[in-house]
Amino acid sequence: MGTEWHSISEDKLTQFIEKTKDRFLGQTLSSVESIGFVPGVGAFVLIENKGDAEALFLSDVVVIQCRYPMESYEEALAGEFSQACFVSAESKTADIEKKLISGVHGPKECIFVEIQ
Amino acid sequence: MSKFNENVFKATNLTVRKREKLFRERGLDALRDAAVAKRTLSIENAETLWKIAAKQFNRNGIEVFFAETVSAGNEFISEHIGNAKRIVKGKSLTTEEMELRQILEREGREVVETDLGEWIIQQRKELPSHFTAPAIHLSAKDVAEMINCQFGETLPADAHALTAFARRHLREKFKEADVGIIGANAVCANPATVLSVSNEGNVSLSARLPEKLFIVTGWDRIYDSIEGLEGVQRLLSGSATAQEYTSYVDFFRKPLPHQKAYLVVLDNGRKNLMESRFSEGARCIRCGACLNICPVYEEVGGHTFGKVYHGGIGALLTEFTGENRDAAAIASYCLRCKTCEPSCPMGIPIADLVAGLSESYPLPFYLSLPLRMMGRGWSRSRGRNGASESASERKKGVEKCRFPSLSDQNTEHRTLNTSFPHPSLLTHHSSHSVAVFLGCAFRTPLLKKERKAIEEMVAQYFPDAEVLDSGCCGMPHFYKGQLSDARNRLEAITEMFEPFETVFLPCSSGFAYLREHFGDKIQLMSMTMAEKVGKVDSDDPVFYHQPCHLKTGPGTEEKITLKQVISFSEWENENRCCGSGGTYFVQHPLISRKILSRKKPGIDGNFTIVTSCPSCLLQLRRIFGRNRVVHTVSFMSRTAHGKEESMLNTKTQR
Repeated sequence: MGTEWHSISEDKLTQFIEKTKDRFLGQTLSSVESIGFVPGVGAFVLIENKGDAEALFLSDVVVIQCRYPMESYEEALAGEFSQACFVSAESKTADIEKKLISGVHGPKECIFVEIQ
Repeated sequence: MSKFNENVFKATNLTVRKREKLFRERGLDALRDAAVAKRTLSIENAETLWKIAAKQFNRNGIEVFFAETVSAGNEFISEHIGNAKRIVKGKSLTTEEMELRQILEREGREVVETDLGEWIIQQRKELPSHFTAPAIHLSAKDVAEMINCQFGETLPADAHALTAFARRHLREKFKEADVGIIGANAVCANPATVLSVSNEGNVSLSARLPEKLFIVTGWDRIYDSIEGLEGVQRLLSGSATAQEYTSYVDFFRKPLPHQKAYLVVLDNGRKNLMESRFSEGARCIRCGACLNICPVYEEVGGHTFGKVYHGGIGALLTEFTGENRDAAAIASYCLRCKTCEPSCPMGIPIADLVAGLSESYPLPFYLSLPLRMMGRGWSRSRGRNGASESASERKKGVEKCRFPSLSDQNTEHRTLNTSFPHPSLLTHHSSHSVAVFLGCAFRTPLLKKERKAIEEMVAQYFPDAEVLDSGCCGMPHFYKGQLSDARNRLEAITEMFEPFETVFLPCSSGFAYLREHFGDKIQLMSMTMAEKVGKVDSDDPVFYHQPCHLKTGPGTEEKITLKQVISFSEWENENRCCGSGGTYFVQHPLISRKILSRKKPGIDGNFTIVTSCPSCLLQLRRIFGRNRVVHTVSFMSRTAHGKEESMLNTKTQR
């Protein structure tokens, strides 16, 4: 479990998500859209209601769709929003003996999908 | 050595190594100047910036409350929570400072810490032992014992199993909670935005699932704009957990539709800090990098400091947000070694600030008995009352310097009692342009050999130099908070140095201290010697010990210069503090000894350790023996004289 980056074309997105569901069979999966992403670093996701938050943080696996590249997340901060989150990895902790453990509260797997 | 010590030592060392790698690979140091400038500007304009931020937040539906005191903040939160009973809370040092959780619990509410480390210490009823890693002192076994005992489980001491249990347990708490409380790492004034970093996702969940949200932050967390905020965040994350970006960087501008949100801004002495002569300390972003690298912290952990804020920076923060008495106790643990300063992403001169802070502490709280007695020795050394000098000595202008003035089992019967002429006696119209200032330490009989070697090297390589054998530069006074004594001594030194273009010092600590006042005029003798003596040979491996005061500034070049003439063997403990700290071995002998013991591993057999600091030299001899630790100049003199003798022999043979 951890973080992955993939690059696919728009028409393959549905297929990719279905395949991912199969891959993580038995685990909850959600797919969210970002409003911008820094390649290889993370993606900026708007959270406008409780449902958005649940989708981003309560699933075992989250797929984040990345369409608009940015140089830094500061570009997204220039826009208007209520709440947002720049996600760069899965939920993790090293609080016990510095051992890195994925999925302490939020998703155990975070999959960024760069859509061409 | 307790298991707690070892847990802390291992964890901090791992973080330091990872942090160094990240900063090197990602060039994060390049962000530092801009971040410090942004932080300084924001602190100077905090009043105006908070007005702008509050206006926008209130307009956006986040009610802002400025709490001058802890009790005002707690009362506001308690009142606005109303009848709600179930509260989930993210990690926040400000709320620890307020003892908010304990207060809400006393009101009969269930408050659950949701950061894993914080949740663990909540169950153990302990304070956090680190700014960012509250359970750093615990092993998996400790955590397993706690969970099995309190929750009736039979979990193994395995981090995966323990974390999985916490996930199941806390997931329900998030879903049931009526109120969420989180901290903020930064607040941007325009556009009004709260920034909070986390890895676990607990901040994101605590903030967004409950119907009421309280964001608690300090008055010092304000920033002017979003430009450069990412740079500050990268430095914070990199310094705290060796990650350029934490998993989640959350931003809050408005409440979600189902929410009521409040922003509580705590002063509790922060304004005083920001307006004081210690205002550089207000730049602290609570990353804890200074703790990870602190030789004292890694031996004793956070609980020894007794309060929420630890280490040198902890003394400063406690002074302004807590009790003066507690701050004095925390300050007493600081080695003033400056090891932390290169790691501070905000460039805070922690040791100097703690030294300044210590000036105001009443002696009984701050200094241990041996050091108070030493202080009396120093007072006498100023010649203030003349009590310690004989009439004939006074007539000659001789003053006593006791550094330290006692010889007992704490100092292992070391004493640097000595006497020397008052600096003013040496102030005359010298015809020399170069001087060598010996400093106080080389007057001790324990460094007799070193002194002789230095004098011979001076005679050979600086024949035109005037030797200033006139005592202490004032550094020990400065770092013990005796600032007026330090100033007096500096005035005398300034007068004494006035006729010279360059003054060489064999003592690296004195060099680092005086360099700050006199700039390039002050040179480290070992570095100049290295350029003069040529290759220094040794049959045995030679290791370098870097004195802490040479970890910043021009002294960092010492090893590079010495390497041109000495073939050093690599030693992983080269940069590790020896725990001497000038007088620390007297004040906290046990901690000093523990720090020293870390130097030992890795070398055996015949070897020589060289260092330019007389205090480190004496400390290192405690474990390596007298003959294995020598001063750099003294070491170079061996070869220099060896060459002379060899040339002489060749001439004789001819």
